[in-house]
Amino acid sequence: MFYYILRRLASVVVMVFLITATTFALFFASPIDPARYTCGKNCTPTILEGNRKALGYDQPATVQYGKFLAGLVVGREFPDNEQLKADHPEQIVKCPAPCLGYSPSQHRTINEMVSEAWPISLSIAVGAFILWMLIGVGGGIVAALNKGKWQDRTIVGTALIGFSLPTFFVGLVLLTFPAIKWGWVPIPKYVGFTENPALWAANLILPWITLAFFFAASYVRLTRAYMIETLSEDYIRTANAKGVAKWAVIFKHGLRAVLTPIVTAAGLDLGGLLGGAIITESVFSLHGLGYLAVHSVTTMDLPTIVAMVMIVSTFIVVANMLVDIAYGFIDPRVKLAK
Amino acid sequence: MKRTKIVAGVATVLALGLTATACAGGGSATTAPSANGAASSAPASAAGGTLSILSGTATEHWDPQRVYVGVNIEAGNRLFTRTLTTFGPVSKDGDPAQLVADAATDTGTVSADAKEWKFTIKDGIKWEDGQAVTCEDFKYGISRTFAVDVITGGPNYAIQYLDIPKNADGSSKYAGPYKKTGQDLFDKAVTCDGNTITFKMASPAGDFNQALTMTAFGAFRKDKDQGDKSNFAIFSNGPYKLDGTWTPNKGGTFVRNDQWDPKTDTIRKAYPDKITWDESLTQETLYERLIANQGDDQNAITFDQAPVTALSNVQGGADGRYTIVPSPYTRYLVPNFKSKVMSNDKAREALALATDRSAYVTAAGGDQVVKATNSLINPALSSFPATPLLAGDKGDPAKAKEALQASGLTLPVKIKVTYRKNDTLDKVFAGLKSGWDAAGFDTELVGIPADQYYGTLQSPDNATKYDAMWAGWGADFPSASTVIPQLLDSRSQISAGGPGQDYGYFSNKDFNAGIDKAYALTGADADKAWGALDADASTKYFAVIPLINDQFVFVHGSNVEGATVNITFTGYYDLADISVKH
Repeated sequence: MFYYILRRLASVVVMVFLITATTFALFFASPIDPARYTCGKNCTPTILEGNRKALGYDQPATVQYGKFLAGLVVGREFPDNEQLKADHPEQIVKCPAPCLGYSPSQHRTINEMVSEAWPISLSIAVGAFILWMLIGVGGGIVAALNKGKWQDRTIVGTALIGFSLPTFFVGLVLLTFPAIKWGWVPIPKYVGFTENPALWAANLILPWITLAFFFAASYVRLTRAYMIETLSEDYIRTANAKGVAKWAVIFKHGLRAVLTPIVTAAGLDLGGLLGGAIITESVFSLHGLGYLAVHSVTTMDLPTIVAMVMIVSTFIVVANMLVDIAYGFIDPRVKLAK
Repeated sequence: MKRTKIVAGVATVLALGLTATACAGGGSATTAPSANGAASSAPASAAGGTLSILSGTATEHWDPQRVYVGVNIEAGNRLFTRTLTTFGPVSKDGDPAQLVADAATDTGTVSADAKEWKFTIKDGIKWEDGQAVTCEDFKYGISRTFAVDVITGGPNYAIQYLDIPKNADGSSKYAGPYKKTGQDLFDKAVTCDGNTITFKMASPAGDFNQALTMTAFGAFRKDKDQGDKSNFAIFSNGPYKLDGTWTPNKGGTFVRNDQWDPKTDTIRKAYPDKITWDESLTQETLYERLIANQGDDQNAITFDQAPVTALSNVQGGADGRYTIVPSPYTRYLVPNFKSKVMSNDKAREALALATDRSAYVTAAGGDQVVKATNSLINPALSSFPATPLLAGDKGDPAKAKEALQASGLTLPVKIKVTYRKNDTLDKVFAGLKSGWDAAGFDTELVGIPADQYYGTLQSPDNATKYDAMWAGWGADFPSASTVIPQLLDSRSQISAGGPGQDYGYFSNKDFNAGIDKAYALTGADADKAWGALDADASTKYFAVIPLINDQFVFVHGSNVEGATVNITFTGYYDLADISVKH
């Protein structure tokens, strides 16, 4: 198990390295000049060139990428101008390792931006995850136990609606009516959990419902399908014949077998969501990692784009690894390779 | 592609949502009483409460020398950066504002040749830590503009106006206070004698005291300067200071600066106790909130213009709480003098005659939000010449065809016209193309993505690529010297590095001489001279074909009083005398 985890961790590092290198290469292949975004209204070729140099965009992509990687290990200082460092140390921004870079459009380190954004994305993702797992798995079990009955049809039908409605639509409806027009819940604005847990939840309830409505739908169908299949297995019939309590048959024997595919899907969904629920964050104006990613692309903020790609890909790759490891605990039949 | 779809989807649903609640009704702007450019008087009960600013636009800079967006110039000046001169508030939307003294004792003393300006700084103006604002603080602040590799993004009027020699590439020989290269040159151009600051101009500048209304000419304390790190580190000498820190894309809260002495300030009434600025929103969401007018949003204003899709809903849902005023912007077409076709005088005249501005107005949302024009100078400026449209707002293809036939070119004349690509301009240019083609042109339209548009126009590699180009411009302060020379003075714009903002490479000695004459004039004489140059550009040289002026639509909450748009000073709600009922 230990060697397996070590090997997977090594592969995570290699994959993230390749992804960030590709992002750098794609960025430099694009015809857009990022220095132009810092040049202002009266931009002249001289000022543009000065900005390009000050931001380090005049250096070859390989040099810039090398500096990015070095910053992850030993940290960096911005701007990278020896004369300025000597004459005006008060102007130098220090970015300790692991330094993700400095955003010229935000005028601060990406580490600062990420440290502000991740609690928002984490709060949205975890709250929505709990909600959709409860509704999705619970609904799936109820539907499976009532296969063909009205309960089954209602749950599956609702799930279908949830799956087919885009999150931006559900989000906007929830924002416009319960929040803005009726005032039932606050217009979402992030409040830290440690600051005020009740306000934290009240402000996030609409984003949670928006995401849960979408994600729960697929879990209802997934759980229902696997549950129906499992409940028709011989060992379930045997358990029923032996007089095992119904709840024990369903939860101890049935649900455990269903868990493997559900955990696979849940791990990947949660991993992706931790990297930012782009649409939901945008609709509710919550500036988590998803918003940060979108904003960095629209402003051609290269350092932030690369950092966000690295963070999001790390979440997904690590989530994938954790799912694989979890198999070993959920299903004793699964043996992880040495 | 994915992001585009998402945004389009969001916009569509918002538009549907907004339309769903629309209903009939008229509206007008609320006003506050005032007189003669001074702040309006409001009842004592107006003081207090919290004004909320809802925004969907991220502030790029609060550093006074880097601020170059109208909203931030206006808000910065009214809240925490006092300038030597400023424009006073107005009593009702659209009224012209007066140039008044702010941190200076008067609006300046100019020498007979308009090459030297003197200002005396008032006593009693303090920074938020209690230290006096000095002449040296103003001098240091202005010097920061020259550090173009650190203090990026701001206006470069100090470089343009001050008598400091330039390098061959047009850059200043003074490199700013950090490198100190050429410091002696700056020290000669800007001098302090006690509280009196003197500016020496490179050439006559009769309107320099208007340029000083920009925060780029504001004071900055040397010991507080941290270069780029100072971008959002607000250090106030106005009625409000930042409470805590400013978070980009989220905003911040302003509270009273107890070091501000109202006796030194005839402009700012500073009624609210607190001003919250939330820039984390989307335009559509904030307009939904302002129209719904619930809870704290009753105390809110926005500097974001209403989306066209929200217009009918604004008119129906925010009756009495909305304002439609001319924006500072003019959209225009630039014939390219380097193209074979447009170097022909008659071809440019034909293009101007065939231009159907009504197609622009219709495609851009109707005459409530767009007005046809034949002047580069905006109607908000006193020098606006109101040049008549050559052939009405629809153009005259028959007359244009005659001009084109007289050009000696073989019809149909192929032209390539470029514009900044978006849904609205796609429709606009389809309409314009019909008019041009009816006159004998064979128009090829080329839409260029917004983020590459001006870079493409300014690249010398593309000097002969397009025959005509769409562009937009707004005056930086209410003087045509921020319009005509910025767009048509070949000496300051065209270099080996490209055309600057003179995208069509228009270069005419007589016209440039006219610019020099206008610079040396002041008041009504200057207005007349700039207006004449504007008219010449569009009807004599056909160097530009002005198209339309945008209109701004703003909404405020029902508890907000004195929400008046000052079109002379940037064109947004003026925070000088705004208040909230509480």
